Amino acid sequence: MDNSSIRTQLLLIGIFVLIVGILGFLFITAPEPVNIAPDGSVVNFDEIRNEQQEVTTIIGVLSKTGTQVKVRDFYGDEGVVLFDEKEKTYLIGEEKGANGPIYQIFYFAGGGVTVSLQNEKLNFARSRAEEDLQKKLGLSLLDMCSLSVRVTVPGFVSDDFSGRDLGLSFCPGSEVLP
Amino acid sequence: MKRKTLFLVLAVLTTLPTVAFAAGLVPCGGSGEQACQLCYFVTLMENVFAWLVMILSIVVALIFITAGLRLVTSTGNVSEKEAAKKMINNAFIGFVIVLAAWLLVDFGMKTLLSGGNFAGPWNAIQCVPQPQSTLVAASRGLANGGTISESCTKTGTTFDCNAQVASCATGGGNPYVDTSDPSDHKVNCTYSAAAYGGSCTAVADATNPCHASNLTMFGARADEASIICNKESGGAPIKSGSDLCCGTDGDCSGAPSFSGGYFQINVLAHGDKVPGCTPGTFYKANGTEGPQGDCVRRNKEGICTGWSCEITDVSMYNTCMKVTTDKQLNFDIAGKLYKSRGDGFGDWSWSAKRCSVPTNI
Repeated sequence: MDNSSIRTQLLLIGIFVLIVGILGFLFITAPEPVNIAPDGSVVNFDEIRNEQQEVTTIIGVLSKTGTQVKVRDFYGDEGVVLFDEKEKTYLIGEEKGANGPIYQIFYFAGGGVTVSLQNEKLNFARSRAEEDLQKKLGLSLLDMCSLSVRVTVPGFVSDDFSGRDLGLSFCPGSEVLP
Repeated sequence: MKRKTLFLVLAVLTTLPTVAFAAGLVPCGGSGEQACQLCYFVTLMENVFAWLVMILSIVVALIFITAGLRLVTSTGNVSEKEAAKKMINNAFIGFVIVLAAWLLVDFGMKTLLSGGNFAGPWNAIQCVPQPQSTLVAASRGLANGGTISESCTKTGTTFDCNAQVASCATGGGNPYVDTSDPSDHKVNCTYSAAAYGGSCTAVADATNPCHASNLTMFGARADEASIICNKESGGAPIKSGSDLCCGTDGDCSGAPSFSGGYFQINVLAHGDKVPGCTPGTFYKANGTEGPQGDCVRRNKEGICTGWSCEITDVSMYNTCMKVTTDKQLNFDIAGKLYKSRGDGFGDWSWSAKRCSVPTNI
């Protein structure tokens, strides 16, 4: 093997090592992927560690302006269940009556919250659900009004009130329920 | 002989779907995917290029192995040894050229764009759905009527309002071209009340699972499917409180529900569409009025809300009721029912009627 052939091979190996090195560097320094909500805002479901390395989960709920509002970590609360594993939908609140649920509260990946009223006494069901939701989120009534919380009724409970957002009773624009 | 072997290896590689990732090449038109549009052809090309690079890596590795074997087994045969070395060199150079080309473009983009801070995925093409005119989209949400405006298309000093007028008419609105502002001609589109009846409103909140963007399986009627989904369940994955198996004694307290999810899919009728669910094996009808048994309870409207059926196999029942907890399954079954009705909402006639959504058009 002559010297020029050796030089060529060394050069090629050098280029290869350089490329692998650069690709490796780009891979290592690539930014962490972030969750993007349907409205385009960044959703944080990160875990942060304090000096004692204790982990705190940050939960965000969408506000009416499309930003995320940090709320209390309710994942460990009694009765909170992962309802839809693929979609990361949680059932975070429920009260059962003699004929089935009075209300159910769902938390969706992306920060959406839906309160489903399933008792014909809609006003009663909503006030019970509001009380539960406030405890779960750990917010004041004023802060709750800044959230994009849907309050809905399925068709089988009420024809008149199903198919639209009824709002939280203490927030502007909410509907008066029977 | 060598060429035949190489051809054989390539043929096997490109034929095996697991190796070729063929299922992921076409990025649209599948279950839960956006409808196909021209942009997806470019994405397809991008996927093909990525696939070719992957195949190239495998081919290069195979060439290295082959050449290595030839080198080891050359046993002093100088020409064989040189040929093997040449093979390695050529494969190596080719591979380096391919990788270097990507790096070169990446380096160029990062240097020339955004003051050196460019970090965008230049090699990834993102397709977004074609924008729909707000004039058409708004017609879905104006159950109580109203007027919305959209600017006409401006080219130089002239305005073309034909597209906006047509769009308004398509949505059932009454268009009026407003030329009062010489710098911005507009089409005011007025909708009469009850474009969709009752209390039904379109789902504007994109985080609501019933939002039209999640309902591509309904094609052009995704907006109406969104209204029906919201009417049925309020955008919550709940079990029905009116499709209950109450047994023969008519006591519906705590009775199991046989419909659930966003579209309130009835598993007694459509359990065959749920993976693992065997229809007819988990309940007893107890009656002659229909597959759900006899009606044992009615609401104020006279609609049956409790049936004489009984659940006999709880495990199978739970499997079938996955339609409640699995959003995509619920949507997929709803899409199939819609198709089976000739693109119609006949399976949700109660909601369709109350929201003035035509079951078929």
